[in-house]
Amino acid sequence: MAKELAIDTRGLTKQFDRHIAVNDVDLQIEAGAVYGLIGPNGAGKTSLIRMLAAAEEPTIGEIYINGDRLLRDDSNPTLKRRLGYLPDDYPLYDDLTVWDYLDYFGRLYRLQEPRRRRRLQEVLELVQLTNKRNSAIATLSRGMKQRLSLARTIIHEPIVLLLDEPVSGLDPIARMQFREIIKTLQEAGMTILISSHVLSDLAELCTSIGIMELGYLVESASLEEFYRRLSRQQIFLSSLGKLDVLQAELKNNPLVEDWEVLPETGRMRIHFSGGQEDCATLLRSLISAGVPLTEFHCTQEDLETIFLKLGHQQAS
Amino acid sequence: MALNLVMQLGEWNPQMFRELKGRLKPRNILITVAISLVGQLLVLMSFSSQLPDADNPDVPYNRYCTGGASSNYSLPTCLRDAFGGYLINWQLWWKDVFVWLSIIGIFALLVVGTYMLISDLSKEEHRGTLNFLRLTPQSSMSILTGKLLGVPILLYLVGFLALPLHLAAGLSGEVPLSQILTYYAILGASCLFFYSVALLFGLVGNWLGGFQAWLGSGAVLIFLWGLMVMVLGNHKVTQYPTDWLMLFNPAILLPYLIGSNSLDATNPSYASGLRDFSWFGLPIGASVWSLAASMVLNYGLWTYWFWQGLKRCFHNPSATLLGKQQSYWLTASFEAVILGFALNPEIGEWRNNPKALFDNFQILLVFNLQLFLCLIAALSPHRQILQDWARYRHQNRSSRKGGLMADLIWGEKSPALEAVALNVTIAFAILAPWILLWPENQYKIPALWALLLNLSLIIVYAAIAQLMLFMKTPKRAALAAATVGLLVVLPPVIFGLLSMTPTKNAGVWLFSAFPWAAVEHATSTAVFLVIIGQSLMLGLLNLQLTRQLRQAGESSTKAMLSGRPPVAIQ
Repeated sequence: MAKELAIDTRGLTKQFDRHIAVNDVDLQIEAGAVYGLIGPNGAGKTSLIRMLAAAEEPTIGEIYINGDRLLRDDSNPTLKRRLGYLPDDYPLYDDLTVWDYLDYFGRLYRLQEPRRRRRLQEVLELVQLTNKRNSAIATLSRGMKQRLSLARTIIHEPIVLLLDEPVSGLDPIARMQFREIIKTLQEAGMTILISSHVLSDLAELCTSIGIMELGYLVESASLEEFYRRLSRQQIFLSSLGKLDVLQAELKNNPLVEDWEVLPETGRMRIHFSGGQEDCATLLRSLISAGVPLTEFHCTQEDLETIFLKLGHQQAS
Repeated sequence: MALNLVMQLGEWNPQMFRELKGRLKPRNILITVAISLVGQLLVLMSFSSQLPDADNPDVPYNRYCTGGASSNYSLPTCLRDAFGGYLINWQLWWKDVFVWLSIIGIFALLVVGTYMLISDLSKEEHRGTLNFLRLTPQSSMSILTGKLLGVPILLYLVGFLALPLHLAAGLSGEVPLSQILTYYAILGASCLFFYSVALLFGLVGNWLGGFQAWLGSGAVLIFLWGLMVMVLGNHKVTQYPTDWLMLFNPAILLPYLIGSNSLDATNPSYASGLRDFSWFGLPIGASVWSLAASMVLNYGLWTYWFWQGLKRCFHNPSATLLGKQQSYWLTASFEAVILGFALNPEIGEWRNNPKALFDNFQILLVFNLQLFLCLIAALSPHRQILQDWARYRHQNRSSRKGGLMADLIWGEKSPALEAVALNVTIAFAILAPWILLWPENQYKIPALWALLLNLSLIIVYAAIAQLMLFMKTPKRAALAAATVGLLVVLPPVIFGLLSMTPTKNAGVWLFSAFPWAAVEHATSTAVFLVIIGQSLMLGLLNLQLTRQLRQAGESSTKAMLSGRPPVAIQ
């Protein structure tokens, strides 16, 4: 049986003046998934996320969160408690302290004492700001402010989390901390939609990937299917001997599609269409042919390569 | 215990709790307390300095002395007691302190409070923090109530600290406690009304930038100033529809409290003046209670309408301020209220004074014009909404129901022209019977013509505004407002410069926003021609609007095939 859909949109369209930012998007995200949304700037990712968060009204189309229709008015307080939205800019109140800020949003989301206090402590611990709880927001660094915003987004334990470019402008350590937080949240059962340009992060975090281009959702699949369909197997080889011998051996194997020598390292990269068994056979044949191999490394094309290979257009 | 109360408040309204937390810092509280106390001290000192100086033997007359009025100055002569000091009319002195504290209080609360609310909301809107509040499950009512109670908290504190002195001054001036409390209730209602207006202005006037708060509070200041002059100087109701505005000034209650006819406690003509204040013949100015009740009802009605706009705009800032259906009720209630003040109930007299009736009618039309200009602004959707409506109407189930006409009259996103026309019809349906009930006189027909001209011109303005709001430039709202504003103001100015008076050149004045000035001097043929001219203009504007809407509603394929630039998905 298919899993329940956390997010389900039907014919979602957003038009700004004569420009169609999001065009007839049917997006389906299963409950518990981490869905990575990628695409060039101006592809409509932010518009799509804003509509899902009820921050923007769709021109036409419908949005269902866990099967309930999302409307942008006063009428659905319960539905709003299921959503957490972190926009790409995250304005904060400089006159409040970290604790007061989170307490304010805890109250707005109707968390009652003593649960609110407990939840605040939990969240502060998760985003590693416990020692800053009494600091004024104005004194925090960018990474801390970003984590505080994330804490605000999850304070009410939403079941759907919408993150728009959450790691842009963060240093590598802050990004790593952020990835860890997302993993924790996924383990807690949240469905997470995350748009990002840092594809290596997405490859590590996501269970599904969607690609947007010119307002259309052109790809949407689970990460495995994505790799299976679009990623080729690569093998990196290094040899102490002459490359001619190695190349002669490779020619004999019908599963080797092509190869190239990477000039800076002297390594060789071959595209290989066989499975794991065939890899083992190739390695065995090379060794028995006496090639002095120092490296034999099977890998797949990463997300970034696939994305670039697809040659998506940039909306200007 | 106080802390406990604040915590409970926080559970009840988180927004208010947040505002209190951000503002009630020791330094702020200290400054506030100092301002309030120093202010009170200054008022007391300035009033003490007006007392006759016991050491100065040459003080024959003083306002606060107890002797008989002198013939020269109409001020009482000063009498000395057995110890050589002057006998002072302390009751009058305290009454004066009471009145001036009240007036200062009104200005401080309404003007400064308005400024605080507008600047706070526009700051939040500008920074984008308001969007997070919109996404929370809190209702707009709860957030905005929190703002209303929390943002001016330091101002409330100033007022609260001045309360003992105000109360003591009132009681020492022998103002009954019940009336002082009524005054507080009215002041509260006026704050609610002006602050609601401020909230709405803060939400929708964001395009004005940093100037917004100054403009809003400046407007309140000028409005109050004008009203205060009406109460202070012209201590008599005019029997014009402008009397209605007096109900917005809490100070109008003060003469009743100090047993006078104006803000001067020594004004003896208590029997006349405000006592004649009436609405549909109901003597609402007869006593402090009837006046207070009418003020509460008046504030209540308009606060209600402003909150309707607030609720719509808070969640969707791009929505029109009012729904079409709401606007019909608003027009009906406005006409009913203003008509009550236009009846000119110098009962028995007015039948013999047709000119006074016509004067009242003219002033009513000025109010009407203002109402409809506001309605045009509140009802006309902007470019994006119109485009979406034109393009996707056929896909939208709710607007398909009942056909195009029903959509134009009731729909959320349809152009406003038909709705304005219907509002105009409602106004006509309420005002025309009144004119028809007038006794036969030479003003009856001109009045009907004036009404017709005025209303048809409003529809033309609505069409122009709607067309301007369909423009591509991002400054379309400002441009539309400026154009319609100029169309209203410019013709009379030009006519004035060219010395074309309504009496001499009635024909051209009929085309202005104030046709009533000329209509009694114009021939019926001229009026008829103007109405035809306006209809033609309206027809043309409507044609243009329909054409543009149709073009916006075309699919990109159709636009492409017909050689126009397609939908930009470059």
